[in-house]
Amino acid sequence: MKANPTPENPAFATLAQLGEWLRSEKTTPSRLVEYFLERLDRLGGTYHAVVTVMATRARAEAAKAEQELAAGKDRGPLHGIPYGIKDLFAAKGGPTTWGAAPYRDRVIDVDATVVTRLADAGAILCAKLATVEIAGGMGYQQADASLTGPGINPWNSSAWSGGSSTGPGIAVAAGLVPFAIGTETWGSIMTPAAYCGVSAMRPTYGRVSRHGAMPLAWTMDKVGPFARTAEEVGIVLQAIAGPDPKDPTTLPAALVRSATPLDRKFHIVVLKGSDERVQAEVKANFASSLKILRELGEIEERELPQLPLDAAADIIVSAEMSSSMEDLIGSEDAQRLQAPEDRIGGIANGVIFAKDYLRALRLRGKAMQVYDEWFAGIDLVAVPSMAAVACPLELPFREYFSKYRGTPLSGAGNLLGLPAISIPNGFGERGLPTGLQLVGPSLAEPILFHVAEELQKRSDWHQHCPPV
Amino acid sequence: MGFTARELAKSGTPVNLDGRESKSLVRYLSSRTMVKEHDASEGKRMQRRKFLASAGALGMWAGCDANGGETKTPEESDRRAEFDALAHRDMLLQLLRTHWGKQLSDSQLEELERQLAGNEQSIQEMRSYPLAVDDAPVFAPSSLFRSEPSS
Repeated sequence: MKANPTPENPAFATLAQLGEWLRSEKTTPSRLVEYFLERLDRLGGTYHAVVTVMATRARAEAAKAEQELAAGKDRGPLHGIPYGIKDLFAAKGGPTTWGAAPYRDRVIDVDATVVTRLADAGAILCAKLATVEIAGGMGYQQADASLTGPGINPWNSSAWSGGSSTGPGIAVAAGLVPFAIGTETWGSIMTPAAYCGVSAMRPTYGRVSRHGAMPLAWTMDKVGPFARTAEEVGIVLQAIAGPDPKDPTTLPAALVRSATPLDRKFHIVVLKGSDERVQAEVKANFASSLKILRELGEIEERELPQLPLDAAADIIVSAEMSSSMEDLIGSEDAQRLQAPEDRIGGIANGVIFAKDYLRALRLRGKAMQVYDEWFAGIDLVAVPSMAAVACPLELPFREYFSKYRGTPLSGAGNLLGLPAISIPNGFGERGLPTGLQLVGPSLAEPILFHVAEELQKRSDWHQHCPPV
Repeated sequence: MGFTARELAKSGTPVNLDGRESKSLVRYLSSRTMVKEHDASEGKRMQRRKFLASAGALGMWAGCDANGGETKTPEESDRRAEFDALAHRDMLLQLLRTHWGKQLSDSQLEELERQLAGNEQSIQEMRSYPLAVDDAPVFAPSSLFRSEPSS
């Protein structure tokens, strides 16, 4: 079904609609906040999407936004808009659990840089959203791997939401918040975006500060937005991107979304075999997306450079998490994690040799040269976001995913810090969404947003919403 | 590589962190090719293995590898890989015995074996790609990004 939001019932409204209603006084920040707090309270538990509803903080921020807008102080398109953030980020006013029972009551009384940036833009933090425990870094192999329970897919309650950014994917799909913030080390934004049928971006490494977020793998962690459309994702990313002295890996300020449409044809690559070992509907929906992409440029089929980058990414994440999570790994606290495999997660990573970690980092350097040459003249690569729709809740991952191929460029894209956007492109088995992923060379966000927005102007998958 | 985390955890032989361990484990390790080649006495074996563990942890092997690693023969590569795998298991044994062995169920030990095997598979895949001496490590990808492209 398609969304039909109104000022009185604004679930699934776009940022533009909400902004127009706020500025024409058809609604107020406080009314929006009360509406979304009620949805978060009522439905957050049903979908295991929410860790903490931040009602007190949200009401105070709403009152401030209301005063500012009434006084003519307009902070831009996010002013007065409620949002949620993955509970890997510290925020004043509630605990920061990392989705893990040992940290259920821990309070980190600071605002992460992303939270500060969104407050500066006038956005209102309404909820800390669910995550797979420790962002999945302990090696979970099943949906039931979180303090809040398995993420329930709003499109089909017997299916998983995807992770590790479970809450952001669910909350945007189910209309619990207009937008949300997640993180990705390897697949944690792209997977729930595709499974839940929403738009989301994994930005170029360094685009967004990680200060105040749980570190899993310092050289691979990224922060990115979830929303219903690519345009909204771009608006949010622009607000949170930019240099931060508290995260020395951050990039200089830049426009991540072009202010004007890009008036040219694009060179788009489809990877050989990228529609093999995928579900039939995924293949058909990908073919439909390519038909639209042909209106925007030239499509060429190519093969990726042959380097063992999944292996390198695997060793880097494993080695780095054995340090970042050293205090948790093998501890009594770890025995309180939800998934049994997570309770012993990271132990074997403690015996990775420094030389093997360094080999992985050397491969990264080599691959950056190789991919720079490979991407010369190429604007983006299009692949199905996932080979299959969301897996059934009770099925072990190994049993479900072994039938399908992995997502091309997922390991490489995360290892090399490449940006990617996932947008919904249809439905497949069990009524679950499928997604299209566009991957670009480093810093190519403006092109990815432009192409994704053009695709959404020519289709309506982003307008569908589940019967929540 | 011949013995499993479960066998290690359940063999019942005490191991401490100063490097002395049971005869059964030493006998096992003595049966491995590389240990045999360096065998002179139990003391020397232990010295060699302790060196390997500490050298690996300090990154010394990476330096050796960068300076001459790509000229290894396939046989030497195989021996190094086997030696590394032995060292991984040896260190894991120490960890299991001293910290977590008594807490682990059979299924958790199987999962631990999977983790170890997964890491070793990734390491082997990485080794299949030749690197030059000047292929230096890159920690933060952003350090190599070029300037913002024109749209």
